[in-house]
Formats: sequence, C-alpha cells, structure tokens
Amino acid sequence: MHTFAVSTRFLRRAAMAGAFLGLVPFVPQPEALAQGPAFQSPGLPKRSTVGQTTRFSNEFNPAFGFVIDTVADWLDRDDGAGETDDGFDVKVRLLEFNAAGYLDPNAWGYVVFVSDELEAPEVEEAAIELTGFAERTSVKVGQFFVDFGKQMQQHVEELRTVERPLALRTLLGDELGGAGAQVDWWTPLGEKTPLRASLGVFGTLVSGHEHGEEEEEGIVAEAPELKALDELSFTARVTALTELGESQNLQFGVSGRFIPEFTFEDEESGVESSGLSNTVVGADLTWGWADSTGNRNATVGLEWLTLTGDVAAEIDDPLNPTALIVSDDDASGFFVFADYGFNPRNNVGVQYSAVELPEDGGADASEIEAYWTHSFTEYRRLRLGVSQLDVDGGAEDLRVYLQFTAYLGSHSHGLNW
Amino acid sequence: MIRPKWILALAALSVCSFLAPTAQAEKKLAVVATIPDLADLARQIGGDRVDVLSLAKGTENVHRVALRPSGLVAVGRAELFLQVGLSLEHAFVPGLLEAARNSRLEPGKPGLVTVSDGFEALDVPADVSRSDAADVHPMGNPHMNLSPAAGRHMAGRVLAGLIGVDPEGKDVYTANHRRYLEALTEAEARWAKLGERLKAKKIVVYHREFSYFAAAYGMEVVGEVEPKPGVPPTPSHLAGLVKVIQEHDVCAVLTAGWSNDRNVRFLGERTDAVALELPTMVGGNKRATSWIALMDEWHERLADVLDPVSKDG
Repeated sequence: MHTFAVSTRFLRRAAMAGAFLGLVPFVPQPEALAQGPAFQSPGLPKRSTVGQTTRFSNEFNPAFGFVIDTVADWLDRDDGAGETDDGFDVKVRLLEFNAAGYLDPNAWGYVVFVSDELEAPEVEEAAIELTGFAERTSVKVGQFFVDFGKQMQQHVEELRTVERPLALRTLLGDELGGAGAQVDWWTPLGEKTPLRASLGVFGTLVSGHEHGEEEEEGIVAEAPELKALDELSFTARVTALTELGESQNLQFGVSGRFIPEFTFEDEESGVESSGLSNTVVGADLTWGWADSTGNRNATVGLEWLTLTGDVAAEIDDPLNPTALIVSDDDASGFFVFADYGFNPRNNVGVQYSAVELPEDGGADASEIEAYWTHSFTEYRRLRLGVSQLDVDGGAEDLRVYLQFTAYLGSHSHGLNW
Repeated sequence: MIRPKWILALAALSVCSFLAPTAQAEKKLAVVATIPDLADLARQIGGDRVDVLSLAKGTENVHRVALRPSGLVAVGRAELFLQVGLSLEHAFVPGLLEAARNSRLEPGKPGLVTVSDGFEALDVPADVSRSDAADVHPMGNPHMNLSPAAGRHMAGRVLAGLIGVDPEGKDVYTANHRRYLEALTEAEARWAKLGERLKAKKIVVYHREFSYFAAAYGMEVVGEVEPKPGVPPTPSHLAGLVKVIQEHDVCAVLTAGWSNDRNVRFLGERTDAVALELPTMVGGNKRATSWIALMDEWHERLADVLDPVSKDG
C-alpha cells in the first residue's frame, strides 16, 4: 500500500505557482497575432525576402540618447587630524547611454548604460513599463531606480546640484536601484489634487555605487543570494500635489525603504554578521511658483529621513578580527533647498543638508552648496557651484566646481512627482 | 522592521483617496485642450454638452508650460484631449499623457485629437539636425494655430473629435459648428481687408510664431531675434539685426509677452522699429477672449503699426 505524503516544500511551491498564475488575468493580453510566431523552428530564424523588414531594417529600432557630464573642480580637503590637501581635477564624470522603445501597445522598455569616468559601462537601469492595466495604474519590472522622495528616481546629472544631497547619499546611497517590480497608481482627490502611491518589491536594495568614487575595501552590506518571500526588500511612497491659487503648487509625500534581511561582511577578514535589517522612512514637502509667462519660477523644498535598525558595523579587534559589532541604532538627516529661475536660461539656488553619520557613532555632518546654472540651450548646461562639507571632529571639504552637461539625441520631458 | 503605524498611515491614505468626493454634479463631456485657442473652439462647438479645461494659460510660452495639478486630474478624467501637434506641446504633453495613464487618450483612440493633422505645415526641415536650431520640429513649424486660415481647419478637427467620442451630440455639435463658421466667415472678410494693408510689409520677429500669419499676407520676415529657434541672441547677432532693421526700414519687431525682453528693448532703443507685443494664445491679453478676437487683435494692431497712413486716410 502506497501512502502519498505531501511535503511542506511541495505545498509552498504549489502556492507560489498558484500565486503567479493568479496574476495572469491582470497581465495585459496581446491581441491575436495575424501571423505565426517569428521563429517557426526552434533556433532557426525565417529567412527574410525582398520587400520584407529584415534584421537590417531600422524602422523598429529604439530611440537613442547620450549624456556627457564633465566636472572640473578645485578641492581643499582637511581630514581634521592634521592632513590637508588641495588641488584641481577635471574629469568626464559620466557618460550615459539610453535607449527606449515600445514592445507592443501595452509595454515600453528602456535601458540606461553608464560609464563612470570612462570606465567600462554598467547597466544602471533596464526595465519594462507595463501600461495596459486598469485606469491610472502601471507596473515597472526590471532593474530601476526606486521611488523614494523627490530625487532618488533621478540620475545624478539630472539633479539641481552636482551631487545628491548629503542626507540622501548617506542614508540611502548615491543611487538606489534594484531589480524587482513596482506598482504605481494615482487617483484624483477633488479637482486640483492628484494623489499617487507606489509599492515596489526588490531582490535587494543594499548595494549601490557612487559616481566618481573608487571602491573601498571595508565592511559591506550584502543580501542573501536566495531569499524567502519575507526577505525581499520593498519600497513604498504616497504623495499628493495640490494647487495654491493660479500660480503656486504644493506637494507632500512620505516614503519608505525596507530591507528585512542582509549581512554585514568585513571584506578583508571575511568576518560577517547576518540576520540584520533596517528601514528608512522619509517625508518631503515642496512648494513651487511660476509667473504668468512661465519664464520665472521658484521652488523651495524640504526632505527629512531617518534610518533605523542595523545601521552600521565595526570589527571587534582591528588586529585579530573575530566578530562584527553591529549598531542597532537610528540616524536622521534632512536637506532644504531654494531655487530661483530668473529667466528660462538661468537658475540660482542654495541647498543645506545635515545628517547623523551611522558609521561614526552618530557624528554630525553638514553640507551647504550654492550654485548658478546657465542653459545655453535646452541641450547644453553649465553650472558653477561652491560647496562646504563639515564633519564633527574637524574634517571639512571646500569644493568649487564647474559642471558641463550635454545631451545628444532623443530626449523627453517626463513628469516626476 | 516595519512599524505598524506606517502601514496604518499608508492604508488610511489609500482609503481616503477612494472616499474623496468627485465631481458628479452634471455629466458633461470632459474635454482637455492643450492651449486656450483649442479650448475656445471646443466651447464654441461643444456648447452646453462639454466641460473644457485648457492646460496652458494664454500668457505662457507654449514651449515651457508649467504643469498644474488640476491639469493632471483633468487629463486623467478626460474623454477628449485636443492638441495642436507638430511637436508644439512637446515640452509638456507626452510626459503628462504618460503620467495620466488614461487609456481613452492613447494614440489611435478617438479621444486623442491632433488638430494640425491635414494642415499644410510651413518650414518642414529637409534634414532633422540640431545644427540648424535648438528647437527642431521635424514635422514643420508648429505654430499653425496662429495662421488666419487655421480657424476653419481647427474647427473641423474639433467637430470630428467631439462627434467621435460623443456621437449622440452630433446634431448639437454640427449646428454649433455651422454657427461658428458663419462668425468666422464674417471675421475672415474683415481680416482680408486689413490683410491688404499688410502685403509685402517687412518685419522682424522674435520667434517663429508669426510665420503662418506673415505667409498668409505676403509679409517679409527680414530678421529674427533668435538666431535659430531656441537659441538666444548674441550681442553680435543683435548688432547685425540693428543694421538689417535700418537697411530694410522695418517698422515693427513682433514679440510675445514671454519674449518681450531686454533684447527686444535694445532693438527698440537702437532703431525706429516699434516693439509690438502680441498675444500668442487666447487669453494672452484682455482683448483676446476668443480665437476670432485674437486674430482681430493681430490684424488691427499690425495694420495700425505697419500701415498707419491708410488708416489715417
């Protein structure tokens, strides 16, 4: 007599498969194809004939665009322990190549390759946006920048300042991208207030990279290669935008980034600590004004965020490391800015950011920056700025920079809110 | 660790959004127009059956329209979206339509109407290259709404668009359209008379918003304040333009509210030409209350400035 034992693992897999199959009705269904599949025999493409589109046709090619971002700066650095240095540097900070095109009427995709300082390019984003869902809903899948606050969705050369604000790059990273899926939905609240919400699920959000910064050995955060469902990272954002009279608007938003499982590892010794988690939550408030012609405009904004949980780690003994001491703490930061466009080609602004440094036992750091941005045309921009970074204990950087950014090829004017 | 209070806050916000009151008072066809000129036509032809909102204000530079939250809400609800096309609204419409995610307004659907379709565009570039200009419009000069001949064409496209999404209103729309064409015919007769006084007159313009109007009456554009569309003037270009104005005895430098800047003032100070600021959209000044009134304003003021003798005589 045979007994049929159903293992827990089998049930879990069946539940997963069922969950995925349950999503099928919500996936945009293509219309019936007039012709058969492109490849009739596995691995053997049909030979094209004269008068047909071929692999050499470019009618369906994606649109291409390039960005060249060059920075020339003078830096006066004091580490607070008597070491000082200063000097000039000029570099092509990044080259960005992007391509975008429709897959079908219900989906479009894009890919962004970035080369830091002319190094080998890396894929920064590669995602498909599915648009055939219910009203005002879209789903993005692939590798992309997460929806957090007002700036993390943007590439660094698109920012108002030469670098991302200190609080963001300290608590979230210079860029925060991940592979996963994100649902985005919005709805009107009355006649003048749209409200938008997004929820993203990602394999991991612990890693990131910084433009123009060399990788340093030390303690790094890593996500497990294989994860249980409750070990996936996720993001959430809710924001509302409303009008104040004819020429002003106000936006408020709250965002969260949650990493339920990661490991700190000392790359040199291999010592690690696992089973860690942390969370960043933030709130942002932005006010905007434009005159009746649209030539003059002003924007003032504030964004506050706090990191809680396992925020940093250090080795127990630098000479003979045996374990990591993990700080279960919190660290907060904010930035505030004001930007004024006094005509369509010139903007001036100032930004102040302050943050508690998680890895320095909560030491405070602050950065103030002032800039003037001149757009020769829509596709060429020159920015002159000065920034001062101060860290508790005496370390400080003074930086004067010129940033020249050029856009080639296709471009768009997206709506980021 | 996710804090329960944050989850509760997010959930509460989502629930509130569902419960929020929406305008249900009177079911009218929701029409969004990119510019006030098209909004005017939609109101004239749609009459009481439509509720119309314009995204741009009449005083704005149509190439730099700032999005207002009410615009996004309206586009999200719109049943008919009217745009000029020819990339005129490139700076704000594609991103807005993408963000609004209104399936009724997707390309190919009857809810998305491009009024320039079928209108013969001027200045269609032989080669699409930014070596020719910063603002390159591959399909031609996009300011077709400022052609005195455009009213009839735009009204026809608006009529077709309204019937396309609301066939039940066909009789109303057709009757309103007929009345509009009668008013337009009377206006065109006025414009033809004034246009006689504009023939072969030489002008300098800031931006190529005036090309269709100038072409309609055989006016000669001898110079442009922008060396190329989208490129600001340099001092040497302005110095050259002073010579051009003097050599050609140009009476007027035509500019819009958004472009009436120190460069235009410089030309006015260095030459005898008048800086003539004209509204470039309905609502651009107090007189331009409709597209026909906008065109009346253009014809009358240009005739007064470029041919004052005939007026006096």
